[in-house]
Amino acid sequence: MSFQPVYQEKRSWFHSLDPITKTTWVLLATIWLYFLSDLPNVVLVSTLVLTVAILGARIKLTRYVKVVVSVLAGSMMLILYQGIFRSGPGIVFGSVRLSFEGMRLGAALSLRTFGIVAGGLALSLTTRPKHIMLAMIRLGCSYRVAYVVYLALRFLPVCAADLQANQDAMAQREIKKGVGWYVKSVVAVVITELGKVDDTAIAMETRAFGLYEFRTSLEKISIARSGVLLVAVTAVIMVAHLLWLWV
Amino acid sequence: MYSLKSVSYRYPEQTTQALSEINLFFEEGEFVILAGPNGGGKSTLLRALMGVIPSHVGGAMKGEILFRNKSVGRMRVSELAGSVGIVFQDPETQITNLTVGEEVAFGPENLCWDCATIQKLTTEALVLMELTGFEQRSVLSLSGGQKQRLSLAALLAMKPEVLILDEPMAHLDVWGLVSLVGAIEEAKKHCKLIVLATHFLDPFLHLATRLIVMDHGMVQADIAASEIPNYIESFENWGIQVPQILEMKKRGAIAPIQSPQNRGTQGDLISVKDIHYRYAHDEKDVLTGVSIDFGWNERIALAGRNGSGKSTLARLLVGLRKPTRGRIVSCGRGVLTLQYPTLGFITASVQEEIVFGSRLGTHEVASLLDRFDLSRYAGKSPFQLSAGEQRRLAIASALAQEPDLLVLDEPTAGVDLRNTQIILSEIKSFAGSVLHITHDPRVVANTERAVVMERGGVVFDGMQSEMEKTIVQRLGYDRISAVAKLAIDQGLWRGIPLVPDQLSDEEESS
Repeated sequence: MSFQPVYQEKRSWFHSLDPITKTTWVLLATIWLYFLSDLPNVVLVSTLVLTVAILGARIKLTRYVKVVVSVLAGSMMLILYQGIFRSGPGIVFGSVRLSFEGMRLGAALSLRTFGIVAGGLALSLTTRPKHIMLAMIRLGCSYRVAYVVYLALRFLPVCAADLQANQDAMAQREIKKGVGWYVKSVVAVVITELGKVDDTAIAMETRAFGLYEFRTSLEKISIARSGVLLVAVTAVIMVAHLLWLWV
Repeated sequence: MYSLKSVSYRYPEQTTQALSEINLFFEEGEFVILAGPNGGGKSTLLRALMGVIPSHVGGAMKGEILFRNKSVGRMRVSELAGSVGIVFQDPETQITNLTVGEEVAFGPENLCWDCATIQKLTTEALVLMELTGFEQRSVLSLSGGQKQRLSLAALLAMKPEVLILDEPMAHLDVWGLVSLVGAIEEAKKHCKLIVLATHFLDPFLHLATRLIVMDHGMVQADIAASEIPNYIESFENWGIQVPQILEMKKRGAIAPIQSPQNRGTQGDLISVKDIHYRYAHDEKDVLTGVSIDFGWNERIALAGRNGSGKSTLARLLVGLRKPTRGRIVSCGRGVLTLQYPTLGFITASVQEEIVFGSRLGTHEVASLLDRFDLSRYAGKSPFQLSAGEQRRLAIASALAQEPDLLVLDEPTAGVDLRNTQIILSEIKSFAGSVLHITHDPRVVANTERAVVMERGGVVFDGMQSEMEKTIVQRLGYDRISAVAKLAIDQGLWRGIPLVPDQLSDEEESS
């Protein structure tokens, strides 16, 4: 089974941080990257986020690359799309003209995603899904929405197992791997999972989920000082960086 | 407690009634078994009792369902949740939390009870379902029986008056089943009404107070439990398996099923030599030195508890995985059908599903569709079929590949008598070898040879008829179920599940 971005019992600095500040840090990093669109600054901030994630959460670079590879096709499309539709000097492939400015913007947007992925991994690999949910609720999110994130992490291994089973079935029919192979596989699994989502939603409601606006939580989470420090330092650097760019 | 007055229901975009003019009353203290063929209306009725139908599914409903004189149709499902609990067939979709403790506390947390009460109820439910000490365990590491016990614990923590169980034993092995029966016995002491849908009456007969048979959306029979022995002759017409214990009592003794003559030759088709297998994310081997030979044209039952390595061995036999260590020499082609058939469907219609990857001609495809009673669905999407029909299609598609070894993973799980008969009859006439991964005694009875796996190794390989005797000797007489004891005393062997009376949690989960 391939690598899944779910909680792993390990010892790292991020493991020792509280979920509220970790979630806040990821939000800050996302906002920071969102405000940037020029390539050098996006590279700088993405590298910073990735470095903190790798050192702080002890994420193996190979694992990060595996996750990034899965969104690489989308990134290439984005670069091509921006290259085609932006004007200015560029290179010509037959009848297609790709502008340098457009491709730079596409690359910046893609790198922005890679930075956010690094932050997200640092959170998901070092925080119990229940704690991510509780942190989201503490940060003002509705428990109904926060539970969706929790459920996604709960069912990720199940989806991966189902995908493997489907690909086994296709391998038996000796279907050659290619775009069609992946499409068929994903469609079959999506249909199966949609049925399961329906059943899960019903199962949750039959246990009174969503009956009241609030719900009790047996587990409580609190804020740790080291987490506050991480968020504060990140916020200061972010504000300084953005002010330097804008003013 | 519950009353149904002229309840009829039709699913969206369907012309036939899923429920037709149902008039029923359920009283406090009852344990009702709901039986009948697939598609007969059992699950629809249970979902209607819970208010899920029509509110979540749509469709047209007539008549009225009252719970404690309140209309279920006018209540939200979550409002009913404090009083009525439901356990579905597949525990995978209803366990929504990551750890056992979180799962049991989930319902009471939704009801906004205070932490002390939730803690107390959670502990009580875990004790009741013998899951104490499992609080921090991941739900993904539980066996099938433990998952169903967890589902029950999660409901019991909400203190429901009514418990609805929709075939909760479909994917369980014998040990899982006995564990579940014990859990339901406990639940009966705490709930005022239990309604259970099942194809297998045997494990629940001693608890039942009433049997309701449904087919074509109608109530075919509604009889008191004490009257059930008088209706044995009607069971086949109703499409239900006659409970073995009743058959024994009624007729004194049943001629033991003669295992088919061993027609296979060992050692030619697939030869497995000391194989080990470990998944990439695991720290220990799932298969630990398995050596076994399969001949041409054999009928084999592969039994063993959930997690014993059966499915992994099956994948290795058909070449979907390579052993980490050891060697498999195969002189033929193996095809595996999955436990959940929808995962294997890759085309848009039933006919395409059979044609895809096969070398069969038009006439042969038509004949296959006909034999599996699928001709009328030829143009329909495989995903729109009922569970029993999907199972038939999966097996028909596998046969269309013309394999030398057909590996069937739980071919009759959740399947009624008629569908089981179609499947078993078609497999009987198949010319190649068949390896059944199964917990179903009806399937085991159709095999000549049995292989039992435990903790990644083969612990028994011999004549099917010898399997249970050997296991009895291993387990000891006092650790098997009353039904099995009766069978042993009378010298009868019919693939009756052997049930250890008490297993420790460690033993079960390992």
